[in-house]
Amino acid sequence: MRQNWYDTHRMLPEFWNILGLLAAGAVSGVIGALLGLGGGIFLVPALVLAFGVPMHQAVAASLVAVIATSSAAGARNAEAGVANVRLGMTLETATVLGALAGALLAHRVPDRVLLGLFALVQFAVSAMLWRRRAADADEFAPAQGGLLDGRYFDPAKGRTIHYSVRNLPTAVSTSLGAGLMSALLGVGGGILKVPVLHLFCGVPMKAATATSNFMIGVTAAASAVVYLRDGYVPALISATVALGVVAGSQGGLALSRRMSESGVRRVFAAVTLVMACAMLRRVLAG
Amino acid sequence: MPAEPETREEGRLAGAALRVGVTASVAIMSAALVLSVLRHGRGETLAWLGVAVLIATPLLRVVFLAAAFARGRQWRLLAASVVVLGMLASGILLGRPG
Repeated sequence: MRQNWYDTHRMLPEFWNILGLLAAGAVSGVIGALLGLGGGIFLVPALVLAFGVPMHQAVAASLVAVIATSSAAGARNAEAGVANVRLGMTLETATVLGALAGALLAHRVPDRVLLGLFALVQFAVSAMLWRRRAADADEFAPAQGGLLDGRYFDPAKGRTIHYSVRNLPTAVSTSLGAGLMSALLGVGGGILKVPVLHLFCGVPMKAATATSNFMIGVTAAASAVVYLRDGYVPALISATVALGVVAGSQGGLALSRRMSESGVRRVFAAVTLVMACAMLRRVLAG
Repeated sequence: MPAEPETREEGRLAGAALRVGVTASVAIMSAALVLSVLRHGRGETLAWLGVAVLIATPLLRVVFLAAAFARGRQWRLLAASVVVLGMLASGILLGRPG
């Protein structure tokens, strides 16, 4: 019966469904703020499994939510200088290209294939979240006067961090893949970019996360306009979820000062694993 | 060496663009939600508008940054911004017809 809800109530979702969608958005906003993720990895399966939204429409709605997450957090991060605006703008040429390719490809890919791909990514994300993230090394290549050098004040360390970006071609090619993944699956793609920026390009973890988050808005906008033209964006569902996301990310920021990140990480890894199994079941059931 | 005031100004402009877009879209989407709960016909239309404003927000941010790069004579970064804007525009034009 859940399956029919989407078709019959697309125009005017019932009150309880609206509350449910707001809650789903809020949870993904909280997760985004606490773990530096776009939130799509939770939102897409929530829309598909709990609300019976078809995969393509769920991806489109999630892309709108990713723009909300990125823009809300991005304003703060850009002003504080934690997000490296110049590096972001440079890499966006690649993420947007990947996103356009993905979005133009998406309507040729059957729902079931997208579901299967999503489940695979969920398993990988779950494993990555469960294992501890590499400790943030303290020393980076000192700023050498490059165009993309970054500097920001880290309150935890009590000092200003300077760094130079290395291996730009690696960052560019990863960004291309992240854009493609974002457009096909409705996620931000930070799960690819953040480790590469941190481990191979000399960007401190905080700056890598903030810069990736800053970039996913433009990336998602590129594919969202294509989904919009193709008629896949469910307006009321997307708007409701986006409102939840904005509220949730504010709440998440307040919570992040009181909660241990590793605890949240483990819990969310388990939730992602359960959702991955449910998505896989949906694929196998056809 | 990028002068610090220059990068700060870029971050400030990008942040301002994002704030304006998010505030406007949240206001419109909230109104849309209230109208849909009241089963008013305009709810759906307003939701479309709110989603459109939200999608346009990152574009506005790129435009603001392009202006900041032009003023700072950062031609390579300006070129990157223009390429991104061009691709975003082509996405609007290249969507599946019909």
